[in-house]
Order: sequence, then C-alpha cells, then structure tokens
Amino acid sequence: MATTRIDMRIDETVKAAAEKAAALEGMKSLTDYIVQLIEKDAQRVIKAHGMLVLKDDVFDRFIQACDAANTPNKKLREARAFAKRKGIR
Amino acid sequence: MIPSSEFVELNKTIHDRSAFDCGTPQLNDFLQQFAAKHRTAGISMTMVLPAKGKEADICAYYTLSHTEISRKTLPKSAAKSLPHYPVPVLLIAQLAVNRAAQGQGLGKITLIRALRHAYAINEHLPSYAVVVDALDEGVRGFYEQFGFELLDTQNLRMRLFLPMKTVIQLFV
Repeated sequence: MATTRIDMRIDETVKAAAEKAAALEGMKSLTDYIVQLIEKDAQRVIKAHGMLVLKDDVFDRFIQACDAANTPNKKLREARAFAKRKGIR
Repeated sequence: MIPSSEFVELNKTIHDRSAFDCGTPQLNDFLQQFAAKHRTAGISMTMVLPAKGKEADICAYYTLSHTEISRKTLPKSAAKSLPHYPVPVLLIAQLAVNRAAQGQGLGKITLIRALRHAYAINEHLPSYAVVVDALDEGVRGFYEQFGFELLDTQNLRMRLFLPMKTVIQLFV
C-alpha cells in the first residue's frame, strides 16, 4: 500500500497520554496507535454520515408516501414557472 | 446584488467564499470551510449562482449529496412489498441566499435549480426522494409550503422529504 505523511502538532500532555496508551495496547509505536485509531474512527464517522436510520413505522410511511407520490402542489409549480421566467439556469 | 443567469460549480480560485453571508453562521461556515473539501473527498457537490458582472460574488448556493435511508429492523415476511433497503435518496444538504441578494425570490429559484439537478441525477442513479435538512422552524415552513413532508427529527435537526416521483412530475 502506498503511504503518505501527516504532519501534526500535538499538546505535550496529550502526546504523553497517547504514548502510555499505545504501550498499554501493545502497539509497536505511537504512529501505529494513531493510525489504528484513525482507521477505526474514520469508518465509524463515514458510516454515521452516509446513512439515515429510521424507526420501522417511520420508514414504512416514508416508502408509502414515495410510492403514492402526490402531484407537485400549486406553490411548487408556481416556483418552477417563476424560475423559468427569471431565466436562471 | 443582481444574479447572473447560470449556476456553476463552486471553484475556490474564482468565487469569494469569505464574503458570503446569508445570516446563518452554519451555512456561511459550510461554504467557507467545507464545501470545497467535501467535493474533493467525494462527499458532496456545491453549485453557486455568481453575481452579474462580478463572478467572484456568490448570490446563492446549494449542496447536493447522495445518502441512504435504512429501516431499523428487517420487515417480517408479510411486508414483502417493501423495497430492499437501505434505499438511496438525494440530499439537499445546504441551501442559502446571500443577504445582499435576498428579496428577489432567489430561495425559490435555488430550490427549483437543486430539484432539477436531483431530477437529472435520478435519470442515471435512481433515488426514492429528495431530502432536505431544516435548521429551524422558519426553514421547515419554507419547504413545507412546496409540499415537503416531515421525515424525522434527530438531534434537533429536522429532515423533510419530497418523493422523487413528485419531482419527476414537476419537470416532465
């Protein structure tokens, strides 16, 4: 795997705590510890942002509403006509 | 501030993001700090409406991204008519009009532009609905007048949706 560098400044006390934690976790180096933390957390964050989980009944109502699909209301049709008149693409 | 006639993709070498002020700090900050980064990371795409005769100035912007909606638990076999999920949706993650350009109906115009964009994407990558984030009740009212319905409220943030089938009917 290709690698790249991250340069970062870190508070001395945070670094000391991280070194201790890395040792306790049996990590070979502080770098190894930070890398595995980032890997784990990045996956969590990406997953949390990429998905919206709904309660069962809310999800089912959402799907039903999407299938039933109301026609666009008057205000929305007027907004479209307004945008067309203004000629902004 | 008079708008030009076309939305273009945000380009940080052309557009002056720091001068944009819509009155909502979160929406200013997103444009200034995250919009370009999110584009590079493949998270979202931001389109801006430059001012007429001064393309650095941004009159309005919107950000689209793709996300998925999932059901908390698997449906029982009786509910077989439900689709496989998660289901894909398009998210209007941000939409804002510069204070200096407000009062000309640009909110409506920007929403229609974002919906048209969603409609175009749907041709290639079908979605169930267009979802929007509403930061407060005022914004919620803005979307509800156009037929958006409340999806859910999470962490004080309201999400509303408009079925893609409704969006299609608007543009065919």
